[in-house]
Amino acid sequence: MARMKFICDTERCIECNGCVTACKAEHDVPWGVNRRRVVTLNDGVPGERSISVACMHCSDAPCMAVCPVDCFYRTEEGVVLHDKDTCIGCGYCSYACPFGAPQFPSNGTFGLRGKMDKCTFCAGGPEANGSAAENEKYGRNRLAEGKLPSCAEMCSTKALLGGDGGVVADIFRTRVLTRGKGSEVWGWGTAYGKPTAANAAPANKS
Amino acid sequence: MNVFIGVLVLAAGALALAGCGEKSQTVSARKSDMAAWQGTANTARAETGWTAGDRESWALHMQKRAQDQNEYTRTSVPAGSSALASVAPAPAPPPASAP
Repeated sequence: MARMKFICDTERCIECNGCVTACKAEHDVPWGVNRRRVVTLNDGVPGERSISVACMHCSDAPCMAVCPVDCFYRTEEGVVLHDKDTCIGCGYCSYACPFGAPQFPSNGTFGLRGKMDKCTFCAGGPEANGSAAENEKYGRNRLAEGKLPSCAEMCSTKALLGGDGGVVADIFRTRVLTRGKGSEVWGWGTAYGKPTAANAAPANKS
Repeated sequence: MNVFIGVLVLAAGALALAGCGEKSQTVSARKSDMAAWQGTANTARAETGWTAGDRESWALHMQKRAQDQNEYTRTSVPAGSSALASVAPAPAPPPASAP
């Protein structure tokens, strides 16, 4: 079974924010919540790098570990999702997440913190696939439609790759071997474990 | 009269003990989520080329779709060919001069 993963190729990301826009539009994400955002390091300095960041759907997700009401679950494709009917909006997950993925919409007169919202890998939530209830709470369920996440499919430079881990890793490996640089996969060590010595061979730089 | 009082005391006792009944306070079992390969109710937006309910069909379709992100496949130019090699390696930047 496929294990869904994201890769952001920092050699290609041009900070266009197309992924952010695609996500907002696809899921009708409310004002103040960004399930995905682009972070630029050393902005304005030659050699700056931009990274598109969202939930990485970690193999050993810290948000799942700290949730006091156990609202998280992992699908058989490795996508980390949560149940908004169970979430109490405590915010523990946002402290635990190394990627800043959990978002909390402000609703109510005094900016009351609402239930957590995060990237779903376009896989919806626990409601029936494609149902109105699922769409209202979590957005579109593109995986059940046979599609990949909107952000990755919309990426103009294909810096952001999403899909079966084996396939996207193979695409990235081919790129690195062809261009001879930029083999660093940001966030993968944190999300999916550090590479073992056997798999940590550097890319061919010849 | 005593019998009546006795019955009344027993009934009151039973009623009072009812307050000791404990309800489970654990969170109800998490809802089960439908697997993505089972398809969607929103069939108008579903992609063709796979069969809803067939896990293998869905997995193959998703792998094929993921390959659409691979420009080496889309352009039919094999990786490492001369067409790509001519643009792949960026020239080394000149060394920065000391201030």
